[in-house]
Amino acid sequence: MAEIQQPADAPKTDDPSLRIEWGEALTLAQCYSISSGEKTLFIVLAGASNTGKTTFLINLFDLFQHGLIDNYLFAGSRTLIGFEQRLHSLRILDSDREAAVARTPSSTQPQVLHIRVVPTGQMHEPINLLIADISGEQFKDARDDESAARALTFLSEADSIVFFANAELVESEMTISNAIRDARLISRRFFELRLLKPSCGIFSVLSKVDALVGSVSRTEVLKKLTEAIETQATENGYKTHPAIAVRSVPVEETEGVKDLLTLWMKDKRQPRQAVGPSRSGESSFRNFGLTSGGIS
Amino acid sequence: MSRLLLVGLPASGKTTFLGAFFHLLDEEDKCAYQISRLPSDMGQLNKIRETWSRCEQVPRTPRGAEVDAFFQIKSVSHTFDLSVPDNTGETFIQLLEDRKWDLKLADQVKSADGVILFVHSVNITRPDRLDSFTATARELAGKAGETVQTERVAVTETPFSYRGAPTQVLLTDLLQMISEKANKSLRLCVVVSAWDQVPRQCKSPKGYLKSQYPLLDQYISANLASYQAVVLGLSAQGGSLPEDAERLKKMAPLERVTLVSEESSTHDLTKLLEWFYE
Repeated sequence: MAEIQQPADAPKTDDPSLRIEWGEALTLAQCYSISSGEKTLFIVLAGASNTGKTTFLINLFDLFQHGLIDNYLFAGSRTLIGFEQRLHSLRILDSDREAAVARTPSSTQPQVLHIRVVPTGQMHEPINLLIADISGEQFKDARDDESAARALTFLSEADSIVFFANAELVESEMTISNAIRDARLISRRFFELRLLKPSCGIFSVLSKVDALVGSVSRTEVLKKLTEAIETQATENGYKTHPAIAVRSVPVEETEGVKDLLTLWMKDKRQPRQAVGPSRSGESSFRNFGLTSGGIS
Repeated sequence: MSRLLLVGLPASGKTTFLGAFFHLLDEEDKCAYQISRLPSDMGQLNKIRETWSRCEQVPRTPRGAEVDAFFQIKSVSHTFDLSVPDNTGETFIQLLEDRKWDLKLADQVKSADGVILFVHSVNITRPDRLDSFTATARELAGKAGETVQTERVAVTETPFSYRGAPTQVLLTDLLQMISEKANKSLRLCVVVSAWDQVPRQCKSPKGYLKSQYPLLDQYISANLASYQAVVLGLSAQGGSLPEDAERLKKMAPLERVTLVSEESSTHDLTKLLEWFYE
């Protein structure tokens, strides 16, 4: 059969300028197109499986979707499909508490979700939140194995890190340490290996606090979580923030998720400035730790 | 040539708008803008206008039958050529899903002076509250095991489809794409269509957008460098069809149309052009 010849002036439909390369969760390399143009905060959510990292991320987006965040306007997202995919997983799987959110695929490179925000009131510069969603398995491996921790090279680029502890594991006051053990060990590993830069904001979240049984004081668990992270951090020269309680879902909108957003934005350490390529073609936001091996 | 892009999801009121808009430009000498020269090809446009005039539901534009309406328009102060392409809602859905620009649409965006974004007051997919579906799931989990299992199988087999996402998410994504492709500041008119269906106590189109499409509203407010926006309410039919058809047929066509701004309302739909060209 004779081939149909395209006329010479036919439009090229495979033109790369017609493709939209964003929508789902971003790779680290894709994040550069955002960080090179505007102020950016790179935030890592760290915790073992089922500690509520992805649920937290979804809750944050959910609050913007319902216009429930007073001090910041949603100014865009390059990962709206990524958020919707995670919401879909939550909708269809939440009847099984063990599989409340489809597990984040296991890889040493995170999937990054993006929200661009502008403080309300006067005209402020937008700030891009790039939030790394990485599987709990990777953090468990990092807890157990130093080389697995070193493989998480992107940690060196984090402006903030949030360590998650699952309140569901607290059955009585005697078992509080069960809930905070992973957060303590994972953070300790990162601090000791100096995988985080000195200016990295250290936060901790007690997730699923609505699961705490009556006799256990939330304040007590939060205090112990704060102390556990703080002790490790201080010994290694990092400064921490008090732990924050977050429910499985933001029943009271003011609780937890909003508080943490406010803390990120008000952290005295300024978000990184937009960085264009230097003369050598690199930037200080270089390659999101794709090749580096910790902070020297 | 001036160009306005009509943007909206399926059944958001784009074609009904075009039918009423063409009719008023052509037949109503009381309107601020009139046609100074008939379009060279107006067959499809006339069909849409006639359906609108008969107070019948204007059918959705099928793919391949898009109207590229060219008008020569005159107002008291000046005359200009206006192109208003009526892309189907499915074209925009495909853009959202395929993440690839249709060449023709990309060219329209690059040459557009402004965008008329249609948000419907009834045809909305609203975001669920996380609280609500988690509560439902817990309720299910409390029932007999077999029931829970059945429910779970049914829901977990539902594949993800971006077109099923909340309307405000899809429209926000579209505005992001258009802004990136246009690479310039655009005038934006957000039209809340079927305004007659909005509860009477809601008098402000801007307030309506903020309460019903909060994500989209925030996006527009936060991106003044990309979009200079106004929000208007539009009742292009004058009521619900077919229920109100007999009542509407007794009205003059001009009186069926109501365009509502924050300050006032008018029957003159062509005044919408003032936002872009005055």
